[in-house]
Amino acid sequence: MTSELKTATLPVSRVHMADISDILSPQPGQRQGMAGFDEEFVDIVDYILRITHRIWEEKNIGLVYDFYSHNCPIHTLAGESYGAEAAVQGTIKSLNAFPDRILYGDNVVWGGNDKDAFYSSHRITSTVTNLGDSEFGPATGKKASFVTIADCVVKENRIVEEWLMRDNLSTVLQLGLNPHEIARQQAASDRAKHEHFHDWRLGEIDRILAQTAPKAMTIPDQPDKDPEAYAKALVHELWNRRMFGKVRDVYASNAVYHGPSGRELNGHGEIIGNIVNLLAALPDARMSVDHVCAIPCGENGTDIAVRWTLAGNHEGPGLYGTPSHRRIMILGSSHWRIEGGKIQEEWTIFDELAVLRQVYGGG
Amino acid sequence: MAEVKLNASPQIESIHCAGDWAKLQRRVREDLAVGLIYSTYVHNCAFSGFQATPRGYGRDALIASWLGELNGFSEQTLNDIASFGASLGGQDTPLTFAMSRGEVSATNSAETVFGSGTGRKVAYRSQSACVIAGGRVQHEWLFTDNLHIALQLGVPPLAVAQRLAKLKARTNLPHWDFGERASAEGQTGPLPCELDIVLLKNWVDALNTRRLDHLAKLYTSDTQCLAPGGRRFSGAAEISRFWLSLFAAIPDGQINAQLTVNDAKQHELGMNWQLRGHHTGPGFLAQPNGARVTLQGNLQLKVTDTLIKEEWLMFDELDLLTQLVGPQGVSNSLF
Repeated sequence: MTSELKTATLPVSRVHMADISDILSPQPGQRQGMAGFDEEFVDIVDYILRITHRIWEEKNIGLVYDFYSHNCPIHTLAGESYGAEAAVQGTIKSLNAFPDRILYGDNVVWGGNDKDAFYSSHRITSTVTNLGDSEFGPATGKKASFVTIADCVVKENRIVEEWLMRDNLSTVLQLGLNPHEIARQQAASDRAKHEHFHDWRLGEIDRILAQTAPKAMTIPDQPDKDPEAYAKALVHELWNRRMFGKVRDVYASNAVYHGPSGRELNGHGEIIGNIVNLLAALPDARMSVDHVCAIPCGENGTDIAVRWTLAGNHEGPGLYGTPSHRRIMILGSSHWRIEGGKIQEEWTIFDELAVLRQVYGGG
Repeated sequence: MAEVKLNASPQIESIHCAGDWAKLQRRVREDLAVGLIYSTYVHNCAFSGFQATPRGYGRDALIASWLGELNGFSEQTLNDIASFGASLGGQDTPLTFAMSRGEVSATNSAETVFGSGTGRKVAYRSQSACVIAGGRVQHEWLFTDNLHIALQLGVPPLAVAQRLAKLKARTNLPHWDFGERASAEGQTGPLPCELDIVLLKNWVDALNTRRLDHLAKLYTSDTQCLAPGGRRFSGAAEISRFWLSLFAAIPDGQINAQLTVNDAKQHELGMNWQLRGHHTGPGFLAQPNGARVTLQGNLQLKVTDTLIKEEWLMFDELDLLTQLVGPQGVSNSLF
């Protein structure tokens, strides 16, 4: 009862247009049911933002033991890890390489509830200086900024599963390193390992490619009414049915697209060109929508977060070079800002360095 | 002896309207109160328009950009500053779109992208646009007449552009060149823009459809226009002539309207716009090489009886030159 009274007073926190001073010091009082969570967290958005700040920026990495389950799977396109201990070790390595990393939380799109589990899609812009050796190579002393989207399932104060999409190719390029050399080395290392990761990835590709021939779907004209149906229809029509012209129906004419590896695009023509560019390299590719959640944005807008998987065979020239004939999988996430029924701004992130790694025979 | 409280709360100032923001710009430029940005901009603000950081992110990066700017061009005064804006309402976080303009006087006292400090005095126009919410600036666009600065410093613009192109290339990020080309030359012709502010829509449509006769009809007979490169135009004929020269150099160029402001009280309109096309015609001090170029521009209008009485137009021609002399031959490939 107490929880209900408290949640009636304030809306769930929003990140869009909020300053860090307000984000880190929310007004007390829970805004939604938070059974099983520490009392200090007013809602799931507050939980995600403050644990990220404490772990990464305050460098209390041991909090990972408190906020991740002991067997939490963390999925990335470069590989999978399990459990809080692996997360702690990975965080320490990353902080040694980029000790001044600042993680600007640009949005947290969420769904679910405290009873079943929350789902959060956290978009982060990071600024770093590469002062220590990293997974990419020796310290370069150079600065970089990159975007990450971290999707988490959260239950009773702990992250129980995570999908991490990071723009690693952009980082490597800004550090002045050779991504092809790195990808080749990673691929060689992958080939020397046992087959577990290969099995997982190839199984995922089979799941996605097994879909039947695409039939026409109607894209709902009110995305906020049923975001999941909207996202699935949009992905199906634009990506799987190759109806590129429908970009003109669902994107505003002056839409802005922020993508991996420095893709900053504007307007229908460039957004269409970007889809065609990727599908030309993977001509039989299919995209599967794996999760959708949405929150209101501003007065009449909606923010939709879509986690997706794209799989196809590298049979076409262009984006990823001469066809390698390898099976490629991409784990990605897109955040759409929708106003007036159309996508005004999009942020799409996937690890294109891990794609190169697959092109060179790894993954 | 009184105890010095190092952790005393800093003075909190906030931004709620175009006027507040214009005052802040003056304090930053004239009083060097750069730290005011901490309390008046959101921590993850986006900004663009500085030479060394064309697209920036975050309050710290913005402050760093201003420190470089004010060190290179010292003793700044901001003259003839004007601002206007419009609130979009909203219960949770009311939004305000604002625009400002002014003329900066400064001394080139230290190294900048133009080269070593020359000690010369310069005067140049600057226009800005921003989104305000929650008492803070959320996104800011700065448009500076950098070509005019180069000309006053006696620095060859092409040499500066080549230096800037090298700086840009340092990020190593690919230059993506996607999508339909020559949209003004398509079989169906240019599409009308979707703006609901009639005068701005007519302005964009007149330019995109190359109906410079329609453009001329949007102005009063005694209209005045300040344009990039220190240009001053009197009358619609000179304005049309300017656009003719630009589209001669970029024949397939199309303008895309972005942020718009309608301040009905002050009878002022504003718009951020983007022009994309290919340099296939004569102009811009460089031979046409087919380069795809993007101009980020800002337009501010004073309106009388639905006609444009005064116009302030700004885009960075030096940035345009930088695109022309930068690496070409894009393949949209990571190989």
